[in-house]
Amino acid sequence: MDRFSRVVSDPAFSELTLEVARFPKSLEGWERLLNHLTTVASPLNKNIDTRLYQLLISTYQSFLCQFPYLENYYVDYALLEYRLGHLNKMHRIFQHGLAVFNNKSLLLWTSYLKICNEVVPKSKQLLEKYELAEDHIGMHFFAGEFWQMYLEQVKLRSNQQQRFFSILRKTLEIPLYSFSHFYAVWLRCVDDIQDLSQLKKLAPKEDLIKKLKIDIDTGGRKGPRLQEAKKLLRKFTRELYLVIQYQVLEIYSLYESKIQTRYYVSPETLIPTHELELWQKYLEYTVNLKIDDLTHLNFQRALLPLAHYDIVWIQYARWLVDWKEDLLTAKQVLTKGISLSLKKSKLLKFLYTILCSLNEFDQLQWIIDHVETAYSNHIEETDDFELFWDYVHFQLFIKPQSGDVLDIISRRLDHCQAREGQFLLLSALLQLQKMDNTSSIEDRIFQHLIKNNWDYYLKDGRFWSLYSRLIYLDPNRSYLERRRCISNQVWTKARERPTKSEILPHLQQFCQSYLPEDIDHLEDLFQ
Amino acid sequence: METVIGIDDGNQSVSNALAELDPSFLKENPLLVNAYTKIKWDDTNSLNALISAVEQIVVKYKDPNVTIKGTIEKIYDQLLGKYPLFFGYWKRFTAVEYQLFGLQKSIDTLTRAVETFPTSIELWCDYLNVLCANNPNEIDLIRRKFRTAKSLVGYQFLSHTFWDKYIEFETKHEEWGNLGNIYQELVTIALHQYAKYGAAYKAYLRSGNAAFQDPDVDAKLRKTQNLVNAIWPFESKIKQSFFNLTPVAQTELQNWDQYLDFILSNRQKFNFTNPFIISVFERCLIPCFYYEHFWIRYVSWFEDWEELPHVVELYQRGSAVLPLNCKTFRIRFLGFLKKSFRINKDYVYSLFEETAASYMERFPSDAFIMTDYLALLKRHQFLSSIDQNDEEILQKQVCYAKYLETAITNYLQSKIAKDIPLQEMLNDINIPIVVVELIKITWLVLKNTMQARKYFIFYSKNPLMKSSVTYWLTYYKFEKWCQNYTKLNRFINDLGTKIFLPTAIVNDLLEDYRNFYLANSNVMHFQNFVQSTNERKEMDPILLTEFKMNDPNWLPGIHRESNDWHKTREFRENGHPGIIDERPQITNLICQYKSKFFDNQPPSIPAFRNLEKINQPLKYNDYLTKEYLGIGD
Repeated sequence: MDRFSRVVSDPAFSELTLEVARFPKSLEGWERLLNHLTTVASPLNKNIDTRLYQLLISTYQSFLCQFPYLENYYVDYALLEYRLGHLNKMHRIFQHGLAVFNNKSLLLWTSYLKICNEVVPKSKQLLEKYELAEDHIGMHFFAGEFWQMYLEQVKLRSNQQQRFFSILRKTLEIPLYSFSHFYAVWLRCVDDIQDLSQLKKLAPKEDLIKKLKIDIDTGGRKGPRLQEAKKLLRKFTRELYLVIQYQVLEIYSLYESKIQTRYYVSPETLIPTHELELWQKYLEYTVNLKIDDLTHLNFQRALLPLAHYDIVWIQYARWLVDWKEDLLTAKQVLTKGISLSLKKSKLLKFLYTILCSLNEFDQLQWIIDHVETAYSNHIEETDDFELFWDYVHFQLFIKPQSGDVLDIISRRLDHCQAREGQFLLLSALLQLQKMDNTSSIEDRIFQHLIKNNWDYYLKDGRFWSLYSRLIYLDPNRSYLERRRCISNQVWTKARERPTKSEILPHLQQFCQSYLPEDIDHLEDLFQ
Repeated sequence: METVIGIDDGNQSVSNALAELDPSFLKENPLLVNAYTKIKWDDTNSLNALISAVEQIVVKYKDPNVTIKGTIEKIYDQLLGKYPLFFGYWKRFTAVEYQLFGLQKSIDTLTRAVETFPTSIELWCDYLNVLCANNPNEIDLIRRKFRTAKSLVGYQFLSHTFWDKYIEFETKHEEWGNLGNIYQELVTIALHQYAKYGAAYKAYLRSGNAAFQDPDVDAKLRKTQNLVNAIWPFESKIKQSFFNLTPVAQTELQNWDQYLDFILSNRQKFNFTNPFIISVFERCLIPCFYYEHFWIRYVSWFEDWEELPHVVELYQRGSAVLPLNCKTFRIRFLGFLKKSFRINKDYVYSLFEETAASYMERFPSDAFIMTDYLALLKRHQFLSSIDQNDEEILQKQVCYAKYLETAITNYLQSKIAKDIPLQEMLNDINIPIVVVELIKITWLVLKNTMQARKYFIFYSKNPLMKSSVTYWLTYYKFEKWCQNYTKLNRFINDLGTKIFLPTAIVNDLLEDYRNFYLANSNVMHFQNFVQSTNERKEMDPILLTEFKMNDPNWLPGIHRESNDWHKTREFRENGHPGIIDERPQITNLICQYKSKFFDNQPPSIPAFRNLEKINQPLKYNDYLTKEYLGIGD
C-alpha cells in the first residue's frame, strides 16, 4: 500500500473528513484534519506524493473557502507551496488572500514581502509591491515592521537615495506603535549630514530658506550654517515627535492596548460585549479623524475578529453612505456582511434601502426572492420577525398590487404562539390600512382568525382592541357607522369569550382614547 | 400686618407668627426670635429648640398679654399643623395651654389632639385621664369617648393602657354588664397582654357580678393566643412606632411590609377582622407617614371592600399629607375615581374635576391628567348613546367640539371664564391636549378634514405646540391618513431642527415613517419623489431616515460639508466625549500621500497647530450647566 492509500484508508482520516463534512462551519474540525494531513505528509519536500499533495492543497482550499478570513492559513498554505518550490502558486495564494481582505491584511503583506525579498530579483517589481502595500496598510498602527522592511529594501535596491529619505520622512508622521524607532533613524541621518548641500535630501530648498532661513547655495563659511541647520532640523523633529507621540499615546491608551482579539475567530467563539463596544468606539474615533485610508483599514481590521457580528458591517456601510456618499461600496460591504454575519436581518434591510437609492430594483427583487427561497417559499415561518416584516414592506413597495402579502401575514398569524411578535404584527398591520382595504384586512385577517377560533388571539384583549381600532380608523365609514359596527360586531363577539374579564380593560383603554362616551355601554355589555 | 416668611409647609407659605409682637419684647427674647426665624423644618433639634424657647417664655412671663399668648398658640398651631403626629408636642402644647388659659383650654387642646391624631394611644389615654379626673360626673360623655377611642386604638397590639383605663372606668361605676361586654370583646383581640385579660375575664365570670356565663372562654383564649403567636414575629421587630422626621430604617420598612403581607394573605386562616387590619395599617402609617408605598397598599386593600366615600376619604387623607413628589398615589386616586364613575356619576365627576384641577396646578407638566379629564367630561356632559338618533349624537359631538374650541380660544386670548373648570385648568403644557382633542373630534368624528387641516395650520404656528408630543403625533397620523407624502417628509425633516421632540419619539417616528412609506408607496412614486426631495434638500424616506436615528439634528451631507473640521466638537472631543482637547496637529500632513508622490523631492517641513497647547490642562464640557440648565460659561 502506498503512502497516499495508507493515509486515505486510515480510520482517523475518515473520521476527520466525516466530521468536517457534517460540520463544515466548525473551525476546530478543519484544523484537526489539516494538522493530521500535515503530519502524515511530513516531511514536506519536493518528493511528496502527488496525490497526497493534491489532497493537502484541496483541503487548504476548502478550508479557506469555508473560512475566508483565516489570515494565518493563507500564509501556511503559501509557505507550503514555497517549500515545494511552487513560486507562482505561492504568489497566487498570497494575492488571492490579500484580495479577500481588500489588500488590507498586515500579516499577509509582511509575510508575503518577506518571501518576495528573497525570491523577487527585479528591484522595480519588488518595490512596486511595497508601494501597493504602503497604500493599503501603511497607516496600520502596527505597520512598523513593514516600514522597516520597506526602508531596508529601498536602501538596498533603489538607485535613488532620495526615495529612502522621503519614505523615512513620511513614517515620522504616521502614528505607529514603534514610531520612535524611525525618529532614531531620522536623527542619525541628520547627524550624518556632512555638507550643506546634503540638507536638500531632508527638506526642500524653499523650505530651508523660508522656514529655517538657511540658503545652501550662498557662499561663505558653511560650518556654522550647517550646525545651525542641523539644530533647526532637530527642533522640528522634536516638535513632530511630540505631536505623533500624543497621537500614539491616545490611540494606544484608549483603544489598542485594550483590544484582546485581533485575529479571526470562528462563529462559535463569542466576543465579549466590552470588546465589541471598544471596536465601535475606536471606529467612531477613526472616522472622526477624517483620514479615509486609515478608516478603511481600521474597518477591515475590526472585521477580522467581528466578521460574524452585524454591527461593524453596518457601521462600515453607514460611514460609506453618510460620509463618503459611496453607495456602491456600501452595497458591496453589506453583501459581504450578509455572507459572513450570523444575524442578517439588519444587513438585509440596509441593503434593500441602498438598492432602492441606487435604483437597482431588479437586484432588490432578486434578493427578496432569494430570501424567500431560503425559507422554501415560506418566509412566514421564519423566527426572525424583523426579517419577515422587512420582507413584507419591501415586497409591498416593489409590487404594491401584490395581494398575497395579506395571505402571507395571515399564514404567519396562523402559527399563533409558535412565532414571536404576533401582536406586533397585528398592530403593524394597521399600517397597511388604506382608503379601500379596511374590509379586506378585516375579512382576511381579523375575521379569518375569528373563524378559525384561534384562542391565542381571541382570548387576548389586544386583539379586540386592535380590531376596534381598525374599524374606528376606516376612512370609508361614517362616525356613527364605525361606532355601531364596533359595538355590534366587535364587542358583542369579544364578550362571548370566556376571558372577557381580561379583555375588558383593553377595550376600556381603547374607549378612553377614542370613544369615552361608550365606556358605560361597553361595561354593560361585558357585565 | 402679617409678613410671609419662607416656610414651606408642603402647600403654601406660613405667616410670621411673631409679626404682632412688640419690638421690645422681641429684643428681650432673642432666643425665641432666633429659634423661630431660623427654623429648619426638617430638623427635629431645630423644632425642639423652638418649643423650648416658647416654654421659656411661658416660665419667664407669669401673666403674658393676649398678643404673646396668641403668638405662642400660633407657633404651636403652625408646628402641629405641619407635623400632627408629634404626640409629644401635643402634650407640651396642652401643658402650655393649661398654664396660659387654664383647664378647659387644655382639655379643648387635647380634644383637638385626638381629632388630629386619632390613632395615638398616648393622646387618648391623656385625654381620657383628664376627662375622668376633671369631669367625673359626665359619665355618659366619658363612656362615649371611651367607645370612640376603642374603635380607633383598641385594636392596637400595645393598647393595654387604654383597656386598663376603660376597665377601671366601668369597674369604678360598677357597670358590670358593660364590663362583661368589654371583656367579651377584649379577649378576642390580639394584644400584647392578652393573657392578663383572659385571667381577668375568667375572674369576672367567676365573680357574682357577671351578667352572663361564657362556656367558650377557653376556646376564645386559645384562638387569641394563636393570633398573638402569629403576629408576634412582626410585632416584636417594631422598634420605631412613633413618627419622626428622619428616614425609617430599612429593616423597619421591610418588617411592616412583611407584616402587612402576612395579615392580608392569611386573613381567612386567622380570621383577621377588618378593624384589626385597619389598625395595623394605621399604626404602620405613623412612622411611615411619608412613605407612599404603604398608603398605596392601604388604599388598594380598602378599595376592595369599603364604600366609595370612605375610600375617597382615605385617598384625600393620603393626598394631603404625602410629599409632592409622590405622584403614583395621586394618579391612582384619579384612576380610582375614573373606575368608580358609574357608582355615583355627579359626585365622582365633581370630585374628579376638583382633584384633577388641583393636581394640574401641582403637576403642570403631567398633561395626561387633562386627557383623563376630557374623557370623563365627555362621558358626563356630552354623553351620547348609540341607541340615540343620529342627529342627537352628532349634535352632542358638535357641542363638545365648540366647548373645546371656546376653551382654547379663551386661553390663548387670556380671557379665561372663571366659571368653566376646563378653562381654569388649562396651562401651557396641557393646552396641546385640548387642541388635539378638538382636532380628533373634527377629523375622526365630524369627518371634516378641511377644518382639521385648518386647525393644524393655525395651531402649528403657536410656540406652545412646538414640543408637544401628542400634538405632533396627531399631526403625523393625520398626514398619514391623508397620505400626503410631501407634508410627511417635510415634517420628518423638521424633527430636531424646527420641531423638538424626545429622541426616542423621533426614532419611533422615523422607523414608522419608513415602514409606512414602503407599505403605501411604490417604485414609480419613489423615483419621482426622491428627485423632488433632493431639490428641497430633504432626506429620502427610505435610506436616509435611518441616519437620523439617535441624532435628530442630522442632515444629509452634514459630515461632508465641514471645512473647519478641527474646530468642531466632534473632533475636539473625539475619543473622550465631554472633554475638549485642543490636540496638536500637523497642518501640512503628508502621511496620506504615497511615497511615490514625492518623486525626487523631499517632503515639506511640517507645520503645526495647537503645539503650544500640548501641556494645557483638559477642559471638561459641563453639558448639565451649559445646555440643560442653560447657564453660560
